[in-house]
Amino acid sequence: MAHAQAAAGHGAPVHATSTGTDNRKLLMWLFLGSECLFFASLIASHLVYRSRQLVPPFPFESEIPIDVYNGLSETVKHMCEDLGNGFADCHGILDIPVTSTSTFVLLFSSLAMVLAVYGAQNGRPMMMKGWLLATIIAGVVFLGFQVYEFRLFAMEGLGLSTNQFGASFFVLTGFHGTHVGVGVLYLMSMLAASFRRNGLGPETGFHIEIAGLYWHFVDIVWIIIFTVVYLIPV
Amino acid sequence: MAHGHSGEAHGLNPRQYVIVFVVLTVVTIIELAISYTGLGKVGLMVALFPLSALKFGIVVALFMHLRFDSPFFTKMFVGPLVLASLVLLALIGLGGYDAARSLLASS
Repeated sequence: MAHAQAAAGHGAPVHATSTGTDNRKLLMWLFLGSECLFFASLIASHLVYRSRQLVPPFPFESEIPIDVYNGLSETVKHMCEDLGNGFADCHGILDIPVTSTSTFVLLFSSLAMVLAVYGAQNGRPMMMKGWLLATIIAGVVFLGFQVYEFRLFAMEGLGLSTNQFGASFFVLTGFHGTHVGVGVLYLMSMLAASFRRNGLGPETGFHIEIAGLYWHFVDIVWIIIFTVVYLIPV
Repeated sequence: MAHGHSGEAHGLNPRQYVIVFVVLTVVTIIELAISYTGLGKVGLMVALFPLSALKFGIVVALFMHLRFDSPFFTKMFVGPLVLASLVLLALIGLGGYDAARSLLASS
């Protein structure tokens, strides 16, 4: 196969393709496209099911009939207060300030990632390694926030099988967290490889850019999740 | 700006990336502020969805370099994205009919 040209600044051969683009990059974009469908299904399921459960914990403050309140287990009854008018008021379980903080951490990780890509594509290995490390740390911090949130919810009595909100919430955010975890491992492998004698080879900029596409996708999925799950009380 | 070759430098410079990050942060703060205003469910949706879409678009176009890359990648991503949006709406429409009816009744 003919080598169409060397990648700018890296001397890496780019094979001629019928699309005129690198097939590996095309593969990543197609994968991300399929991931859009995956997360759209999970988000839709969450939006449909989270407003249908009859027993707390609820995502947002809600009122329930007093007969439902009287039938609650002690594990979740503490979340509600008898209003004396035939209804009980249950407080919401979502902690917006904590999740907002983790959202800013993930946004920062996207900045760090794009700066790592810039360093890799402009022949600045120390810049690339430093920002790659910052991205990894931000990803781990985000996962820490998620573990904290899950633990808090479990202590409040919300589990995967507690109600429909719990089931759809844990599946949706759990899959997103898994993607973040995979991304952290991916970036760690890139960082570790960059310390080898030959680094990531002649296509360093390309490899880091592909990793960056995956990482930014994880960020844009969270942008949607944060809005529809945490900010809009449907 | 160049298009679509392997490992090629394209996009913005670091200072511009920081500006983009500041814009994303400000939009997120605006979203948070709106969520505390006590707007109704429909009002929040109308206010927050465009802001969320704006952040989504900024990250895809500038951080993921889709604006500077081959238009072929844009087609490969936007096609499934549109399909995903339709799937989202269809599932909500199918599964959330009662919820939507009560939402409209209460607004």
